[in-house]
Amino acid sequence: MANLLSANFYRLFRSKVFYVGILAAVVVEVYSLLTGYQSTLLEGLGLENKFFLYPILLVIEMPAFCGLFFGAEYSGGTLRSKLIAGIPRWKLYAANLVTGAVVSLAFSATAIVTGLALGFLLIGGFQLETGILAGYFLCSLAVGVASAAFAAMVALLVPNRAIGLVIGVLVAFSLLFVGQYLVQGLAQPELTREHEPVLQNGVVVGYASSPDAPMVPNPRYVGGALRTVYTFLLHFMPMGQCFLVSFLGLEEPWKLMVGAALFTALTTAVGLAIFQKKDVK
Amino acid sequence: MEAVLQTYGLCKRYRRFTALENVNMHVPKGAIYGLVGKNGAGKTTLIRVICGLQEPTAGDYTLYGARLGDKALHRARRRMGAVVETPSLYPDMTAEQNLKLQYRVLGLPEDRGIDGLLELVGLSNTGKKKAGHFSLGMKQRLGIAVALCGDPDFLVLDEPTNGLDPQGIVEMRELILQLNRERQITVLISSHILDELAKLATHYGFLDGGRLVRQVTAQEVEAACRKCLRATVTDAHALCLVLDQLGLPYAVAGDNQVDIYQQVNVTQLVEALSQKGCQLLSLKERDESLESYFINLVGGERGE
Repeated sequence: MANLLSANFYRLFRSKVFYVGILAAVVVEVYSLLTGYQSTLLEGLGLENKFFLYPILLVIEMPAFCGLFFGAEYSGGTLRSKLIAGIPRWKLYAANLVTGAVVSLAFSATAIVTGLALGFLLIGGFQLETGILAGYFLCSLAVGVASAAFAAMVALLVPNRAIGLVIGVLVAFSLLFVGQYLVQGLAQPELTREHEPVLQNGVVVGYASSPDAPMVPNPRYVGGALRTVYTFLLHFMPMGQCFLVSFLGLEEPWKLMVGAALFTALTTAVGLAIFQKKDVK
Repeated sequence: MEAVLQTYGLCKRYRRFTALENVNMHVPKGAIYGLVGKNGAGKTTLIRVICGLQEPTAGDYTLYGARLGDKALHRARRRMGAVVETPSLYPDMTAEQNLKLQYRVLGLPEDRGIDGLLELVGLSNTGKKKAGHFSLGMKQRLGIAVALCGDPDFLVLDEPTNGLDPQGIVEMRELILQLNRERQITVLISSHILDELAKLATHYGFLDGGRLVRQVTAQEVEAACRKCLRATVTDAHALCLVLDQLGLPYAVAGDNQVDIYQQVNVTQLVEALSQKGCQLLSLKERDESLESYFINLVGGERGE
């Protein structure tokens, strides 16, 4: 597999797609800090408040990168020449997975370096405890690796480069919306002030609650088994994990790490099982 | 003769469509094996299956003695190079970078052989030009160079002359012959440009509707296509006696037909036959090509 990795990296360092990805990581981090540093300073918050936007970028960026970079192996026919040369399919898959993971780490590292350099200038240091901060950094890298696993699976299973790219990015976007829905669902409080109808000329124009209104159960609160499912999915999918990291919602970082490891293992197992039997044209 | 590739009842089905049916093929070592068939006959499917790109639905094959499913097959594939359909290239890389990449894939030292390979395929002066900007002929040659990385003993080429101009076709033919003669590389080549294939192949396999309908040597095809006069008579036995007397080479082609492989004095022949009570019904000159041999074999009315 070392030979395949060596070949992948030889190509990677000559790939425009890779450098565009690096640039995107810089741009997103700079944008996040430039647009948010004033409010962060006003509210007296630390750098972490605007630092961890890059995991959300990775969730979209990795399918795009893998679709273009690994998709070229199908469109250029070079995947065929590797198989014809007697390279077992699992090695090919594993080499692409590792390459994708390394690329995700490179994108993350770029965003981290950019964020640290600019963030210290604009905002100052972090206010989170070192241990917790380390957890966030580790989790942000785990999100990237899990995204790479998903992206590598799509890129290796869809032989058409353009279709693979579109499917990967679309699914990632759709699951991001699912992730956001889960975050909003879990953020609902269990109790809420009772809302009363607002009347205008005897017509109901809306509902409002007053500060002295009695507390009642929130119908939007997600409880019971459903809450467990929501929580699991949020920690399992990189499209949910990225929100936990970006919005500083991590309570137990190990759960996210385990979720990312599970997601990586599952997508790899499914992808590999299909790729082993796949007819390559 | 030792076989590089041997298939046993190979079948490939896609849902209701049968692409290959019970193919038993034998590619001898050192041969240039021409795989002949119409579009959709199953040539590319057969090549994909033996290259390990697709799994057969049924049947088996051996490559250098290593059977499908054996771990040794991966090692045997190291002795094989192929260009299937389109050349396998990274268009944003130069010819040299493409070869370097393949060397890395195979775990070979980059400083050995790349210049020689580029020279062999006539691409040594392409410099920094990206493969994506190459002409079709150059791409084909680079594809062959990539396939030749690792010094394979067996080269599989799927329609290598497709889309090439006449000059490109001649260069490709010369290259294949050179590889076969100078490097003793066994070549399996599929094509439907039969005149071109006839200039190369030492063996043929004729595919039709997914079936290998005949497997012959070039000598056998040549014998069948030999220029001759086909005589149709009322008594083939009498004609044979006459031809023996005249010392003319011949072969019986049917109940009342005999192929005569030399110019014949027709008056003399007719007189000799009439003495034996035999009539000459027709005498036609035949000059079969590989193309007409193929059409006769598979029938021209179907397919295409």
